[in-house]
Amino acid sequence: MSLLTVENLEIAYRHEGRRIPAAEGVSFAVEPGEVLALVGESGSGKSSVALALTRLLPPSAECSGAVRFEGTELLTAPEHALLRIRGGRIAYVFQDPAGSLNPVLTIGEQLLETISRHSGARGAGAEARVVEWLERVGIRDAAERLRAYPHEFSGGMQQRVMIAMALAGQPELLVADEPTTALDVTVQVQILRLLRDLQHSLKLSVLLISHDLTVVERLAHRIGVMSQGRLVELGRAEQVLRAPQHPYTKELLRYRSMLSLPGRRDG
Amino acid sequence: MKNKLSLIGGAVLAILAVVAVAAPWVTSYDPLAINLSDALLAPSAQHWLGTDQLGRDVASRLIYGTRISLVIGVVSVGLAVLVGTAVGALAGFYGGWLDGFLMRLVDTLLSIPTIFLLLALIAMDPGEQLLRLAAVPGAGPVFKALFDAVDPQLLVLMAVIGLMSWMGVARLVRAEVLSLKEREFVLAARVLGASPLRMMTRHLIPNAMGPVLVSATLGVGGAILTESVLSYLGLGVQPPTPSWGNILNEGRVALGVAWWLTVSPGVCIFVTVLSFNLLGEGLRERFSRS
Repeated sequence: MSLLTVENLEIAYRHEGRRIPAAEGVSFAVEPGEVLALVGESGSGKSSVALALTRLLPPSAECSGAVRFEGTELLTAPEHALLRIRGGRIAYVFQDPAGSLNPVLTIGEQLLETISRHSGARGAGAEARVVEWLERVGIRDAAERLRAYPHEFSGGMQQRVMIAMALAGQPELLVADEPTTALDVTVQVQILRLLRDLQHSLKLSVLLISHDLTVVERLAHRIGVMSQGRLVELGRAEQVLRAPQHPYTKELLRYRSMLSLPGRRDG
Repeated sequence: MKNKLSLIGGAVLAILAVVAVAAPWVTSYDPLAINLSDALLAPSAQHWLGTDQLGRDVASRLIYGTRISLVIGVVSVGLAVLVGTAVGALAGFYGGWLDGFLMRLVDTLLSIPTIFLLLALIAMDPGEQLLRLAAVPGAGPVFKALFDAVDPQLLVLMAVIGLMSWMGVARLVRAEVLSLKEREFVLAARVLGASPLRMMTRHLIPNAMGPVLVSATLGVGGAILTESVLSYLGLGVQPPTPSWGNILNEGRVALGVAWWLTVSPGVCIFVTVLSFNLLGEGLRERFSRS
């Protein structure tokens, strides 16, 4: 059985009396232990789909269709049930790690919050888990660094903390929305490697949202291509990248080969 | 330059706080001791700021008055911050009809002249009403202990001033929460399963505290002024307990013969309120820089 099934998802924003569609008839499934990437240019509706999964869209958004997570329908689930699913079963990592951390709380306090909410661990036990997670995402001297504030960390370190926070609730599904876009190229590679290692060791399902095919290529087992709110192509990663079917996918790949000129290839 | 001024403000307030706490050691005169043979003495080495009509030492009355004024200022503003933060955070966080209702309530309260509302409230003699609580079965002893520790009149004064001045804080917090709500870390907290209460108390309110601290500092000065005005009108701190406002009031009748009775509390009020304003401005500058 699929971990997550999205069927015929429609999202539209109401704005000054008009209805602006963000996603139309989007259907896909994420299997356990699988990395599914949604690619597309900005405004194609991929982030709206990611947020709609656990009903995180602003009140101006209308949502219909079905989102089933291990058999539970999320679009109609009561809010208190979603509080347990968010972070505990489905976790998110966003583009801007600097903005995603609360500036007045230390790294340790923020990580502790997620850990104690979703595992019930308290006191010294919970603190040990904080250190364990920080080490796991590659932060050295974790026992000291947990007393630092977010602004004392570099962008890459902040994103590592965000990943630790997301995974500390032991979710089955990680939604990574442009997880490397705001980072330097060298740091991007490190973060992608970290995500891949964690995905392997935790047998995690990942829904990766990105506009960057280089990022997608490194992680994804399957790729879905979104354009103007529709999922125009969905298939195995090699197949989509080597033998694209939809004209939009072909175009997307053509721009990519234009950008990676000889001698300027990175990674 | 401004920084220096705010440091001076802070230093003056620190000295005042020390004086207020250490009042019995700073002055050897009992502020309540009447000595009619020493009435209306001009300032001298013995009585630094002279004596009043009843022969009480003005300097020691001012020093004990500092306690009352500072406590009233800080406690009433503390209450205003508490109420204002709660109202502002709820309005900003939930929006919709709750926001509309709370903000119209704020508008309404702000459109009533504070001084008249204060006068009306105090005219109802809430201190006497409060005393009845001491007779309530069960909770009675708790209230009695509270009233033995703090004069109920004083409690009423702090409550009334506090409840008349939370509206500004509410607007401020609401505006901060509205803008913080759009920040990514609030969404990040939400996606990790934070409940609305937790989002407000842990992620929104702490980040809104900078401007609130500034407004609270400025507010303490305002509250001290309000207390002085009420005491001057005979509705605040009741004699013989000295407060800057009622010392001023008692000195009013002797203005022609004993200037020191009105000038010294006047200077105290002026310097204290000015210090709070300078400190508040300095804090504002600090927070707007970061």
